[in-house]
This record gives sequence, C-alpha cells and structure tokens, in this order.
Amino acid sequence: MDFRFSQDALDLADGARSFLDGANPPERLRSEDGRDSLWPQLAALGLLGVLAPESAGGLGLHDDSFVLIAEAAGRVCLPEPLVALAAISVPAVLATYPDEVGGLVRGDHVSPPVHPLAPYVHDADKADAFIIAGPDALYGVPSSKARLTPVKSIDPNRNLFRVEADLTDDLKVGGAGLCAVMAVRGATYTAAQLLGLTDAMIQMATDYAKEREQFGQPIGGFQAIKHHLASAQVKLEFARPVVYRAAASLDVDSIARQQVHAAHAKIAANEAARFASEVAIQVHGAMGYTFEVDLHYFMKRAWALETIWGDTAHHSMIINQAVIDGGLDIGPGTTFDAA
Amino acid sequence: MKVLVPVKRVVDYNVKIRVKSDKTGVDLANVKMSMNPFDEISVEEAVRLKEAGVATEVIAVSVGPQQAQETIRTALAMGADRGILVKTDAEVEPLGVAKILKELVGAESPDLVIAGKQAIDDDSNQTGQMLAALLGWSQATFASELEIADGKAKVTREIDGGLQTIEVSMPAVVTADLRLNEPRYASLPNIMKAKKKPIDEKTVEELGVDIAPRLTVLEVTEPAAREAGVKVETVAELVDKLKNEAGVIG
Repeated sequence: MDFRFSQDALDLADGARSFLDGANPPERLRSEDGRDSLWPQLAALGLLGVLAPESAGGLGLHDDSFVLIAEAAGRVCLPEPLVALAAISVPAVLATYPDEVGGLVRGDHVSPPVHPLAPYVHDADKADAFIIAGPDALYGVPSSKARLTPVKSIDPNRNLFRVEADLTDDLKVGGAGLCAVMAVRGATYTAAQLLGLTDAMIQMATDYAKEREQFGQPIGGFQAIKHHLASAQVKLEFARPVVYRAAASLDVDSIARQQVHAAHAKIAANEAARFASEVAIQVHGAMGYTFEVDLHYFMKRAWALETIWGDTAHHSMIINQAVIDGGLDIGPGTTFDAA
Repeated sequence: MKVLVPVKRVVDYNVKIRVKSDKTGVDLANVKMSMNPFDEISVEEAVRLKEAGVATEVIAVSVGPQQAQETIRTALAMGADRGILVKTDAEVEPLGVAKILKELVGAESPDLVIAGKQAIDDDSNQTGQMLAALLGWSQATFASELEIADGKAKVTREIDGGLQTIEVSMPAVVTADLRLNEPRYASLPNIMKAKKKPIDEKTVEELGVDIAPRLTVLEVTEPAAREAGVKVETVAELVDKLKNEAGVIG
C-alpha cells in the first residue's frame, strides 16, 4: 500500500498554500470589519470545486487532495468558510441535487451546512440556502425560510448565527444517511484545519523563542522551552497521519469505519491544538495575552473548532461504542481493512 | 509573436537564508525553492500579452538542475504554453545563462524576451543586458510598463528619481521591474493542466555553450548585525549625534 500523497495532491496544496499565505496574512485577521471577501478569488482559483466533478466545473478529486488544502486554510486562520462549503456542502449537494453543484463551485451560491454538532453558521447572513441535518433527514432550506439569530463567538473572525427553520417534508432532500456523512466530513475537515492551526501556533512560538532574549540568550536556547515546543510538535506529527487516514477513508470505507476514523482524527487534532495553544501562550509569556501578538487569533479559532462537529467527549463515545459495544476489530492486523 | 521568458529557481523569498560555516556560499539544504519573484512578473507580463492577443506563444525557459522543471511548471500553470529546461548541475553565471539563452533564441526565434531584472539570490542584474548585447538586440531594462505596437516596444523604465519612457525596435530584450504588474496565483485547474504541457529538455553540451565560470567567489558573509539604538534626552543631543556621529546633516 502506498501511503504517499499523489503528486497532484501535493502540487494543488502547494498552489493553495501559496495563495492563502499571500492573500490572508495575519494583518488581515485584524481588519474583520472592513476587509474584502476572498470568496471571488477562492472560486476563481478553483478551491471550491476540488471535490466537485469536472462536468460541474470542479476538479473531480478525492478527499485525500482536499485535506491538505483544508490544513493550509487552518494554518492561515482563514476567515472565509471555504472548508465547510467545499468539503461538506459540495458533496451533500452532489448527493442530492447534482445539477446545483456548479453554482457552488463558481461561488454564485453559498449554502452552508447546519448540523446539531455545528448549529452556529459563520456568515449565515450571506447564504442563499442552508443544508440542514434534521433528526431523521437532510433538508434544503432557502434563506428566506430560515430564522437567523446572531451569536457571539470567542473567535472575532467568525460571524456566527444560530440557524433555525421549520423542517417540513417539502424541504426534505435526503435521508438520515446523508446527515451521518455530513457529521463525518465535518469532524474530519475540522480536524484538518486544527492541524494547520497547531502548525501555525508552534511556528509562532518557535519564532518568538528564537527572537526573545533573556539571561543573555534567546529563550529558545533553554531546554524547558525546547522541550515544550518539541512535545507540541510530537502531538502534531502524531495527529497528522490520523487525520489524513480519516480523509482517505471518506466515501471509501463503510460509514461505521469512517465514523471511527473521523472520531480518532478529531480527538487527536483537538488534543494537539489544545496542547500547542497552551505551549505557545506559555512561550510567549505575558505577550501571548496581548492583542499586539497574532497568536490569540489562532488560539481562539482552535478553541472554537475544538467544540464543533463533536468535542473530544462526543468522539470518545463514538469510539467506545464501536470498539466496546460494536465489537469493531482493532489492532495492527485490521488497521488497513476497508471493511 | 513569440515571447521567451527565462525563469530561475531560487531560494524562496520568505526563507531566512543562512551562510555556510565555511563561508563558501548559502546553505541550500532543505530550503524551500521557488521562482525568482521578478521572473514571476515577467511570466505574468508575457501571459497578459498573450491574453491581449499580442503574443501568440509564451515559452518558459530555465537553466539548472532537474528540479528547475518545477519552476517551469509554475510558469506553465500561470499560462505559459511550453517549457524548455537546459539541464545542468553546475553553477551558471549570468554570462553563461545569457549564452544559453542566445542559443535558444536562435532556435525558437522569439520576437521578445522578457526577463526578470535580476534574481534575488545573486542580485547580479546582468543576464538581460548580456543577452541583448550577445544578440545585438534592443534592450529596455527596469520596465514598469510595456506596450507593443507596430513592431516596436514602448517601455517605461524606473530610473533614479523618476520614470523614463523609451521606444525600442523589435526584437528586444525587456527586463521586468517590481511594478510592471502583480503576478497572478495559478488556479488549481491550471496547475493540473500545466502537467500536460510539454517541457523540452536540453543539455548545455547539446547547445555547445561554454559555461565555465569567470568569477571566483572569495567569501560570503552575513550582513553585520544591527546595533542597538540609543535614547537621547534632548533634541539638541539628537541634532548633535546626527551631525557629528551619523554625519547625515551638515
């Protein structure tokens, strides 16, 4: 089995990274009220259509290509809901109303996902419609039929709304299976963004440790700091393959197995991000608490993402049910089973 | 009209470079490499000429190791039509590159070469000028605007203290300055399409060019560390220091 990413996936991620790094520097995170949306450029560069078929103007690639792009979006703390739209909404619309995918890919329509595990929607006031996971079915709700209530997020770059609607039968677009798929995708791709955020926070802390001097030398020269940063990096490196595996199993493995992989990914990424944010703030000392340092934007995004699409307790329960109650085979012999 | 654009693979402009401990050069191990930013501007200009219907074909050329193919691919993803890689693992000086480009110009017969004004690794700022001299072509360096009409290129050049607009007859070599344009980001579909565009590989030997170095690098050192500043108590003290220590006012 070849575990490497394809050259196409790596090249596309490189292209996306280069755009995101240039278009969304940390200074942009400081101008939440007056900045122009990157949405037209995200659409023009093809980032919304990586998972959409070529007939709809997309690239027709699999999730193991988009996971790296989601990680890159996390790394720059992108305010635009690129990942939710491209990795959750596009596949949901593809499964229900494939003719409508083109509009999403071109950026003409914005239909964010709403799920009990992620009930608050970023930039919901700019949406045309919502894809809402109800108790037993998936619903397509035009914005005219949705009720939006602003909700304040800890993350200043997330413009959240609670989205509610009367989920009547005429709005039903798919069954409960699609709601489960949405949850798995949400957890996997939130984990991917957390990887990027963790990477960014470690990088910021490392840069600061090389620059800030105390007792006549950069603080990064002290073992206590080095060990902290190394431990954070180890958490990240251990979380990465878990998240990549979850992405690789999307739409390939059984939904039960996808759920376990996604749960594992979200737990590992939550843990890495939480640990890295604590280490980063420690390394920055009192500066880490100030608005002058960019760290807090990344840290608050990580805290926000940690709780959506299932927190660690939620995903621990999924694994518990699968392994203890469901009799899921675990161990080296079954790691790569696509059952 | 055919446009040839040389693109160089250099250390990414975001990388904080480190000088090797033996002072023979810059440490390139595990360092991110990218297209020289001025060459990105050249590619962008050539692609815009093509989009405007002025150019018919844009050829991206690189001289360097096999990995320089990635730099050509970047140019292809931005919109160039095909690439030529002149493979060599040797360090090639600007004169060597100019000679290689002269041979390629002979084979491809472009009407215009748009090069970056300099590469950010050696800051030589020589290749474009040397190429024009070797070919006996017109040259317009440090371009911040380029207009092609009636077999002539009208170029606005950035010079000390202002702008100079000149007209040169074609064929010509133009070197791009920073403000010529803002290079585009390659779209993901174009990155995929670039993989299918042809890249011709040649060797220096095939072109029969002597690239033996004419220069010897004696030593490479880091810039001197910036000294800490001082606080002055009064304006008079500041004026005194500016006058007598810094010597910036008379």
